[in-house]
Amino acid sequence: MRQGIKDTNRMELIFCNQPENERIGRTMAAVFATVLNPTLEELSDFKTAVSEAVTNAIIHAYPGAEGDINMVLERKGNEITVTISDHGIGMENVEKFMEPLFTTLPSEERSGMGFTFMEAFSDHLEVKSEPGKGTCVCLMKKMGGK
Amino acid sequence: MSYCHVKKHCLVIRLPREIDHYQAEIIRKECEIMFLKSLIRDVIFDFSNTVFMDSSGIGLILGRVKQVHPLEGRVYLFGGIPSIEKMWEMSGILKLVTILNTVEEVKEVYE
Repeated sequence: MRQGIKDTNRMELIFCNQPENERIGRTMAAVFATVLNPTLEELSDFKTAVSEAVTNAIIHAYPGAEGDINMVLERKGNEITVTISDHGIGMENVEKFMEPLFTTLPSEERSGMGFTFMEAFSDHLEVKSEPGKGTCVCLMKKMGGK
Repeated sequence: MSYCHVKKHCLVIRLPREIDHYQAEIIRKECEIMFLKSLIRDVIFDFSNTVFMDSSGIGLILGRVKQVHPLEGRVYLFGGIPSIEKMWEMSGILKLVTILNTVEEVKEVYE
């Protein structure tokens, strides 16, 4: 880690559910993580995991309506935690939604691999959801801590 | 900007730097038009310029696999960096597509 940089950092972003914000959201998360000097592979995996979570919120949380998505970035030691939450429609049975190949939008060619990639490309994943209240996805990745 | 072009019976898709849900939708719509305009049997996805992908890219490939299936066409993937190859492996799509390793192999598909 660079000299003079504190062990912890925190940032919060609020953005609306525009598809354009998928790229901005994951890029912000990647920039936030660069202080840990991640390897290319670590950064790429991290960006994919964040992209899945942000995309889910953008396309599923507020069907046919506008809504805000909240992203909190936290760094503690060599761990980056990203919490992405919305106040959208939520999910009844989270386990079912997390199964590989499950999708509510097959006509739009969603692969149903979103949660699988989130799990595979992070070190810890937690998903909380309540129908009508919203969804909160928290993922943690260790980076550059060799 | 156009991502697709047709060579004989083959649709070649030159993918952008980043493939996410937003980009995948643009490419999907372009593909739909190409399938209506030309007789397409096979599809080549060229990942040479791509540095980022998420599961939207897998959806895009699976969609084309389904589309060429009735004509017994094949879907080919070319030029993925290691992080993208990892996603191909994890998703199980390698059972449905063929990897092309060299430019010569790519040319053989449409010649």
